[in-house]
Amino acid sequence: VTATKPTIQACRNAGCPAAQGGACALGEEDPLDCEQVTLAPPAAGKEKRKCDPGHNLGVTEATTVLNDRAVPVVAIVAKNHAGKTTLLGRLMAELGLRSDGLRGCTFKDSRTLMGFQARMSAVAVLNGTRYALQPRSVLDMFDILHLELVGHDGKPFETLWVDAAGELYDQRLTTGKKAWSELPFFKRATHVVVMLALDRLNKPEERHEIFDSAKVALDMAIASATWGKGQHLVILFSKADRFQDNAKLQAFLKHVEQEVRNRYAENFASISFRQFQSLGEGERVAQSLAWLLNSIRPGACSPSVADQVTA
Amino acid sequence: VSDFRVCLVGMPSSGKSTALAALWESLRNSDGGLRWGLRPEDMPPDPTYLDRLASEWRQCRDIKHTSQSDKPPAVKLRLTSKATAARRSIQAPDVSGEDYQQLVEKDLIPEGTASALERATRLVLFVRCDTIRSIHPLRPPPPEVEAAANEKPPTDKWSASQLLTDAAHVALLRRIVEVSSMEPMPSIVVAMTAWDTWTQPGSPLNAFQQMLPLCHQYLANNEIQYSVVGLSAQGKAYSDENRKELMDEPNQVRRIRVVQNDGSSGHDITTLFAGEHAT
Repeated sequence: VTATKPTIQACRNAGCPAAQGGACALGEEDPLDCEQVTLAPPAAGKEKRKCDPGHNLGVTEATTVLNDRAVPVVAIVAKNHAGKTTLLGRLMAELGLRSDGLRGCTFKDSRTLMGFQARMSAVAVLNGTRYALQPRSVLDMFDILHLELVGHDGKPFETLWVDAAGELYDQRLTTGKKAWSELPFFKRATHVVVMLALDRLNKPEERHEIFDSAKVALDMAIASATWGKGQHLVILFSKADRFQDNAKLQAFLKHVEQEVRNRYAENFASISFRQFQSLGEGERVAQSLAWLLNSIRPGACSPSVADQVTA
Repeated sequence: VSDFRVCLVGMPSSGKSTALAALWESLRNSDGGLRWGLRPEDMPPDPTYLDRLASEWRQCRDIKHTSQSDKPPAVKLRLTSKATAARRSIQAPDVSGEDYQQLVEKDLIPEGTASALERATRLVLFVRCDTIRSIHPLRPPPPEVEAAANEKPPTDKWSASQLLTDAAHVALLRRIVEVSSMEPMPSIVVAMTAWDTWTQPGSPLNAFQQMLPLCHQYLANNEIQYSVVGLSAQGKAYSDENRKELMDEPNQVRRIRVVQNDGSSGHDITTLFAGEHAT
């Protein structure tokens, strides 16, 4: 933002040299404070100052941040309706619910505050009642959001969040491994969050597909060297509350965990698992989000076994 | 004489002009009890604008909103401490709330307002506590609502006008920092206005932290010093019934109520502009 100091056009006090750049005849230290002066209209196009809309960072801005300092980049990838954008909305909503933030982790700043708020609005009002609805990312695009926090240890840390549209995920599945390597911010991710929506277990035709497609995506991203030992993999199981058969649910979680560990243990710096219900009751949501923030915090230990998903 | 450049910050109808009206009424017609006063020789040369505000205030009329202009109406007062005889030159341009709303919603601010902000040594942030839009516990939508929303996603594009009060004030403060070159950031006095309508227990600071938690986190984590007071500058809402009661008050200054966090309260609004505040 370019600031332009206003200039004095005239002074109603006859003979006052303020308009010519001199001192105020009425004794004001700064002639601009004098009620007698009128200001010159700002130059055309300079009548207003403009600030950044703050919806998302462009690739250039985000690259500048990353070239300047080490910042965790969390890439959230999943098919449509897995709850990626809701996760981000709920993160901001939970941070803003209490003055002590989310389990001691507090908000410091966000260059993309409006981007977060737009996602949060999806957890807002419909016909006068507040519901959490699924917001949609822009088709074929990914947004990079910025969030600066202060951890419960009092240390500030910055994060970047890549919110990729589900359509992008589907596109990459069909276009092959080269397409993954074209996504620079997927490559620069420090944490890859793959969301698996468990409500799809209710539909027999989608039961296998949710995990199969995730494996295809992971295989392609690994083969294209987009993801590798430099990244931490987090598998988030969303919408567990939408699947009622607990025995089947636990069997599925166990199966996914086992297979992911078998297939990808050598490919990532760490692998962790967690259930996340963005529409669930506050305490559990807060716990999951705090776990996620704690996992990505620079210098944090990789998520412990106790944190990983269990029955 | 120490210079105090106060900039009043707040969304439309948050009480900025009402506070100025109450300040001027206090300085002109108080029968004592003010910590800061106006000496006869310090009378401003042209008090027309302040007189207009105070006249509307006395008649319990809604103060006409300050219009947007290149140069916000200047309010300049030289106040003297009754206790120490210290003098402070208060400059508080009456900036339009629409300017701030435009900054939040359209990312723009008039040059004159930006200039007033960056020359400020204190910001007084007005937050009206009877109109706070806040988040409530969320619950999952009924299946039919979710199905309908998935079938036909809402077409209305999100805009900043939908911001909740808390986030809107964070956006406002960080944009003020962005568009002005205030270094260091001046201290902020948060005036929780319409305090007479606040019925919950707790201090003004509690109310601020409870109702604007994100804003509190932003200020605290960015080491911006702030203090909070409760302010009822007009006494009560201007209903027909209240209006009569307010206008019948023989000492109009007693309509004003400034509430501190220790529970004490008084009618002295001058401290909001000139006094020290524990942060």
